[in-house]
Amino acid sequence: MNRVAVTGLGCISALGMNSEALAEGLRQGRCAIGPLTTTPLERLTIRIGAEVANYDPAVHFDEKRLLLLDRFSQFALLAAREAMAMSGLNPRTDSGLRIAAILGSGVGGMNTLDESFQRIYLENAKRFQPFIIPKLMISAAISHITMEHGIKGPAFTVASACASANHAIGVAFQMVRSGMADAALTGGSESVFTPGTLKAWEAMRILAPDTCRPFSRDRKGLVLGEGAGVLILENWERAKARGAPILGEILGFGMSADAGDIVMPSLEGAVSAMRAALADCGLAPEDIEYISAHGTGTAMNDITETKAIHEVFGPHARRLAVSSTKSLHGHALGAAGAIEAIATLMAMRDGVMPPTGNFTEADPQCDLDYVPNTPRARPFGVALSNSFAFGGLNSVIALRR
Amino acid sequence: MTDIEGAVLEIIAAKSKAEPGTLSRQTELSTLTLDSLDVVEMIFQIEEKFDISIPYNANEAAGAEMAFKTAGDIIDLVGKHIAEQKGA
Repeated sequence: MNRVAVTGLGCISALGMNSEALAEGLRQGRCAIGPLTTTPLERLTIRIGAEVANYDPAVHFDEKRLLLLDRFSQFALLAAREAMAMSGLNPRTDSGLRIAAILGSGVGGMNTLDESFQRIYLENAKRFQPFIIPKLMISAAISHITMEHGIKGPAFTVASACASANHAIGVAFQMVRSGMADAALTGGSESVFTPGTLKAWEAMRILAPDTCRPFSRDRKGLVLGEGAGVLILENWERAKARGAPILGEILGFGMSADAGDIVMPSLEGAVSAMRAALADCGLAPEDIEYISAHGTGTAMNDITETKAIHEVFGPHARRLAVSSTKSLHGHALGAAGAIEAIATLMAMRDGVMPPTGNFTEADPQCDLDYVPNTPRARPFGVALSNSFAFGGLNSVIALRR
Repeated sequence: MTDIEGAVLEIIAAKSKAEPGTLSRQTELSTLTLDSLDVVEMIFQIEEKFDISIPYNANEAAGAEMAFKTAGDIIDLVGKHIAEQKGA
């Protein structure tokens, strides 16, 4: 079994257009949740989100290419560009490199789907622009990434709602660890700010009208975000031998399914996934210094996750720090696991634990150290990143500085 | 029994699979078989039936402050929103 290094990072989020912007936002504890600007609001009750603001596709892609690229594919490509450039890998010239590409996304080309439905059902369009199908398919983003970078190894997209990117990273990690691949481009991408999607989210009654306050007593639910996170994973020895930047290490990966409710999380499932991650890398609960929580800010997740952490970590639960960066960059759904893994790696690099933003007063049932509001300058080296998705699909990765 | 009362009780009865005539304002929701998904769906059906918007947030309800205890609680809330939104 090989050790797995992280040799490249790329990120598009509400906090900015690259991974350094994310890191800076975290160090400042800046909340990027604001009024929605990229979608018509007339029929919506919800007014806020964590959008990738001031984004002009024409700056990054030519017109012809944009015909093929849904917004979620655009974000994925941009994040992949940053990550690949950082890693210095070049699949086209390195003929010996066996590199995989595994991305996560919850729903893929939703903007394209929404526009297409409007055209055909509302406007009675007689015909479609030719490439709607390859534009909206959930695998579109990773296909385009393999094309742009000349990646010819195993490539596909993983879907598990809010855990998609976390699962994708886990799968990619296993490929490199087992030696099936020398390296893997992985992460997630999501962009769903369309009126139809937002209306559907409103109907679930779990969107917060004010902001995202994970673990606070007066939290009112989640705030949607968008973006993409890409990590380059590489065989440790190979990375060292070529002098690659070592940005961290993926230590282990744990998964479970709740087999419970389609939306309500289960304690058992969360406990099982965290324990599986620890067992996978042979770590004891006491080795974990920080947890990047799933922490959506819903009533149920935050309580269940807190209880699960107590159960897995025992007395150590009160010594470690837990924060939810969703309070700062929103819930990026299928991209969340990747943005949060990158956030955790950069926080370990910078020696600053990200805060749980917008924190007012602790919910009596949420009694851990959530690093409320203020980023904490404290070096740390071993962390878990949790994703507990709708449908009870859980994924936890263990990371080291 | 008013129209609003009758319609709301009918929706609750259908969702909880209770016999329609057996529910009243006093019926305690905890005695019916309803989970949180059922509650959200009932709110949707009530909104559709009366063409009103009920600002129900599942997170606040879970905090037990806006929780409905009896069928009467729901009926009163619906009546209030109809009055506000329909000027009835």
